[in-house]
Amino acid sequence: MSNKSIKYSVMPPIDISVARTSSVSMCNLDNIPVLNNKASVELINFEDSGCLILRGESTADKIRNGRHGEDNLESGLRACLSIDLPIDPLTCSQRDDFSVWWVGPNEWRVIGPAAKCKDIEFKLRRQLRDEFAVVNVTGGFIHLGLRGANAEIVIRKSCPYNINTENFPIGKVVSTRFAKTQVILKNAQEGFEFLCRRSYADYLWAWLRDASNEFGLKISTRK
Amino acid sequence: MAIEQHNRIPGGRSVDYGMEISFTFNGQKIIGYKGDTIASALLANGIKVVGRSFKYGRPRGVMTAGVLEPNAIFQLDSGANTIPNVRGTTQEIYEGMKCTSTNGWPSLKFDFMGIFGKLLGPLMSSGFYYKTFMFPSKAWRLYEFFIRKAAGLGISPRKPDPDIYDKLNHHVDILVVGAGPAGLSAALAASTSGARVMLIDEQAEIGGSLLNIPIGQTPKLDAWLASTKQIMRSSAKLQIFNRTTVIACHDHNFLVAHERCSDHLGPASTKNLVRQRLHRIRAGHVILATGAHDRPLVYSNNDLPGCFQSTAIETYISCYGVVPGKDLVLATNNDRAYRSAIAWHKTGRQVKAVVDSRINPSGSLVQQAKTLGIKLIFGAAVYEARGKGKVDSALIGKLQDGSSLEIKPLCELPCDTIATSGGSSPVIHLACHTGLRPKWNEDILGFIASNDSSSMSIIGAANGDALLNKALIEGQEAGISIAREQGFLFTDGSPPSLPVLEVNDEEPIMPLFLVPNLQRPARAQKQFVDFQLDVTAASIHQAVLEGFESIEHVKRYTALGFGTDQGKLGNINGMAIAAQEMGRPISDVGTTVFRPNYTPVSFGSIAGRGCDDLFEPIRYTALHSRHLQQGALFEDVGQWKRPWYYPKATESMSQSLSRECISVRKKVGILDASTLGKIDIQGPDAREFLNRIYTNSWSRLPIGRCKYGLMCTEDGMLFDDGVTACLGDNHFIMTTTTGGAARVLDWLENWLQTEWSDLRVFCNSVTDYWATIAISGPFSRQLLSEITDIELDGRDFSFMDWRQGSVAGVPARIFRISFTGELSYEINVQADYATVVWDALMERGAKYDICPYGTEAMHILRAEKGFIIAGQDTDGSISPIDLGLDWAVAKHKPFSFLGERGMQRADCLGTERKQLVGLKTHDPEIVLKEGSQIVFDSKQEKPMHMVGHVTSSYFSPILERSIALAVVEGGHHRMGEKVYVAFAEEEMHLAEISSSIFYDPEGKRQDV
Repeated sequence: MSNKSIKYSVMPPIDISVARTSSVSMCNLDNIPVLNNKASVELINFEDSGCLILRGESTADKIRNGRHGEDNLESGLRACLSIDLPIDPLTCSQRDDFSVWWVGPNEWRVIGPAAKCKDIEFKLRRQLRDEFAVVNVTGGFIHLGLRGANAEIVIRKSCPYNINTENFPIGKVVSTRFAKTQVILKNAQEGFEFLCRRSYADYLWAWLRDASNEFGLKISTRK
Repeated sequence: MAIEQHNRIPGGRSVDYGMEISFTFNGQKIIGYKGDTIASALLANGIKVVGRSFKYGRPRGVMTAGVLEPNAIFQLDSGANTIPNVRGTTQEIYEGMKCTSTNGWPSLKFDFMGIFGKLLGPLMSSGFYYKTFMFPSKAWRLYEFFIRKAAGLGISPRKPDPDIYDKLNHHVDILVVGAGPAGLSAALAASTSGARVMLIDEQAEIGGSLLNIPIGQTPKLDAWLASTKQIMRSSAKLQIFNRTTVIACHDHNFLVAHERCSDHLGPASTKNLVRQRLHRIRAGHVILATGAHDRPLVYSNNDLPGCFQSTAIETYISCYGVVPGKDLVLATNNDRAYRSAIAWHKTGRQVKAVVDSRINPSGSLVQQAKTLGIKLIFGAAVYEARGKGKVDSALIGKLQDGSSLEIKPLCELPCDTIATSGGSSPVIHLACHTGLRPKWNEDILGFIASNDSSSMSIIGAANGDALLNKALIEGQEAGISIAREQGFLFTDGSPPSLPVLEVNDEEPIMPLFLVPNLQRPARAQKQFVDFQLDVTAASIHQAVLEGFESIEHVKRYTALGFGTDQGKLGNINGMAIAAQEMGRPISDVGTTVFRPNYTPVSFGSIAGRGCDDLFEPIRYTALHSRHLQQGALFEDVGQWKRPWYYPKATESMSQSLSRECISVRKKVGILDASTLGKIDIQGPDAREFLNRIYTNSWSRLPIGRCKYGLMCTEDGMLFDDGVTACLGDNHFIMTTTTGGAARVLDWLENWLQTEWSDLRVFCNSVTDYWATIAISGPFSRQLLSEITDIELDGRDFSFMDWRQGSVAGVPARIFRISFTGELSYEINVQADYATVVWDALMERGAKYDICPYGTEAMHILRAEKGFIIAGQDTDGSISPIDLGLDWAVAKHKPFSFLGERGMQRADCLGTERKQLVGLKTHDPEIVLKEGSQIVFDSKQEKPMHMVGHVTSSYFSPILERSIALAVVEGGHHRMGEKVYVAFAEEEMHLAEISSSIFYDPEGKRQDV
């Protein structure tokens, strides 16, 4: 192995017949009482979401920082996913079942079906070569959704960030404090979405369940 | 049988006469109406005495109708739901409420302190407790028991709070505090501009002082109030919170409000409702329309039940339909207080007299009272109340200007109620929380806040102008201009019109705080200033006599304003009396500092939802369910839950540890190592980056190999360690300690972003992505070979190699590294497939007696090998050289590395530094205590010269003896020497300095 020269190590895809375990390990998903029939909060576990961390400088940043290189993050991403890189802070872009969330000046998350993420990782790796980092963290994150008439109030219970529509319009993405953990929070078309580290999933799940309880809570799992 | 509500009249704005509510007060059944406060219901039923005073045990009655109340302080309900120190003037009644007086031990009727206070009262001057209970110092506990019992503040619940509390964040353009005339019209105007407006008020309904105007008296106003409620309810841009008090105003317009969501409905827990909610509000602009508090006059026996603050009379009549007595004497120094006498007169009960300290006032309210035939006495004041347990009469005297104001007895009027008004004090608490200075205003005789903020406005009575009409207009103007300033242009609406109200002519107020008495304060009947803590005018005089000059000192010496009412009723009078005694103007004496919180807040609402399981996040590994199945006990490591050990049915901890350790040494053990920090490092300069971060060299580490690395801070001291593997020419994976993961990533980012931005490197945390299962022991290779496609032969896959392949069908990276000294493999798989691999290993491992082991066994096993744990065996003052890890410090790297200069300091090169060694006790059964101090000579005099301490200590099952790691001065050249380890019980244990590697020193077992 040591005599082969490779620059980056990429893990092979996982056989889909192998059983996965949910990120929410301690909370019993099926056993949550719905307090009244008019559940005005729906908590969704996007079980099959995969996640890639994409790091690098946009072309504009590269020029500003006086770096030179052939690679181009924007065109690389377009070639693999037909998605434009969201360069403006706190934005995201979307195409079909993939979305790319801006997280920092040189950091993005690529969210899409877990089964396809591996393929995208290979493609990006081939496209982007040296000056970029691609890390597959599928399974290391939990992707949740919160919808319904009272979803907004549940988020305001948990998070000091200003989520009024003027400040947090549809499509905006922020990394913020949420209860006593951190999430990446997005105002999606149909409600709110979160990305959170896997190890905090139980805590976050329990918190959301507790905070939603008074409004009537419905829990669902989406592929 | 309940008593009748003989003080109830029709027309109360806030009560629902159709809904009777019954509750008990000190065991007696009381009937009131929905909307009543405890105080209004008690007064309706003619109950005068509601408690006993703090120090002297005097009977006390309701004095006010709001948050200022010092006397009507109650305990509600019992058991887990009990609430101490509830203000009876703000708490609404609910069916079945049990209300008891908090003051008055052993009972309200027979009060021990009442007698004690009467006998000893004259001796209990200010500073009484400080002066009296100092000796003997050990008796304080006994004194304290009785003082606390007698002082009788409420009883905290002994059981866990069953209620639900909550917090909510808000971001609004304009926040209006107070829904009185000014606040209402401001919020109403601003909300039509398109701005997001929030209006907060402490009462159950909006209106503030407008509600004190009896219903029907001004039909235009009633109509406006009704339509305003309608508009506000339907407004999309306006949020109203009732029963909510803004308790704190912090910098940058961050305010905190406390909402009592269901306190008026009774114990919330049974109904699954939120009891109280804390609102955290960030506002673009804050409008404080907090109004003013009516200030009573100070006279002798002014605490007798039946003595009221003047506006309270208006509130009880107008809001609750309660006249708290039969005949009233009103004492005032201003026009506005006449309203309470007029309101009283209109109920058909008698006003004995209005006693006005001014000479010949003629304002329109005075004229009105005269027309109604109310007896007016000018140039006079009530200087003493008389009565036994309640007001029976008022002593009235003529005021005369001599060298100072004096009083000359005039008459005694029988009455059962005395109301007084000495003017009003603007509520500037919130404004002053941010540091604004209170400024004395001679025109209104009150402090107002000198506001220079462009993002905060103070309007209405809070800013000194209490005229109703003016407040309404001022509010509307503020609402419009502030909305415009915020960029809202009224494109979709315009402010609704205001009612035109008749304007009362008012004449100036006369300065009067402490009414002159025939006697000087020390001799006169008690003139109370702070009712809750029994501070009298005499106590303030004495404090000044004893030399206290600063109002802050006077406050602390007399306890003025120390009660749960925080001096809202008495402080300004106290300051005026102190100023008078010192012969200085009030403006010069000033106020004490206004601090949050404005009113008391329950601990529950501060905790919010963050209690029990949600108190602190718990991080679980992907294998947690498997540890539960195996009966693991858990240890907290940072926020993680890690299996500590896995006891079988009847095993003790040491038996379990012994079994786990021996299994690893003789067969095979399995450990969940997922919590170790893992950082993925990519980029063309990754290798150079590692060279700078770690002390050792990474230049020649080939792909497929791992290396142990030490990380130092600039001072050359170790701060984290771990194994890092080369995955590709530009790709490494670093492991850190569990607790150090976040700190190390920050450290790496810090250097990359601030110092070495030229390095093309990206660091990403992959801790949560990889689950790590370590199998360790002689059979680990055989076991793993059954479920992997990787060639495990020692020649192909040697110690400190890593390989990629599949384990139980899951793609995995396997690192042949060992923290136990045995043949070990650390299997890394994507977290959501970890249980598959764990289950396969457990199943296949059964024939080798595979044994899950926890962190405690791991600690023992590593200590047997002398492997350190950063943070346990190091403390930020230990360098790699002190640890004997010189081999892991590269002396000649092209760029140097973090800590190299630090390690070269003269002190760090000395041979007598504390160095890591092993310790073997003379008695192999004695397990040293971690942290124990070490001395060379046990016979030396105390304090002994301490030469080091024990850092890790265990009983080693495989060696069948105790082992310890320790740092000892010059330890590396003292091998074999004897030391003594001190225990707290004066015991000394003999031990021998040894190598820190106790087991398999050649390292043969891990490298097979």
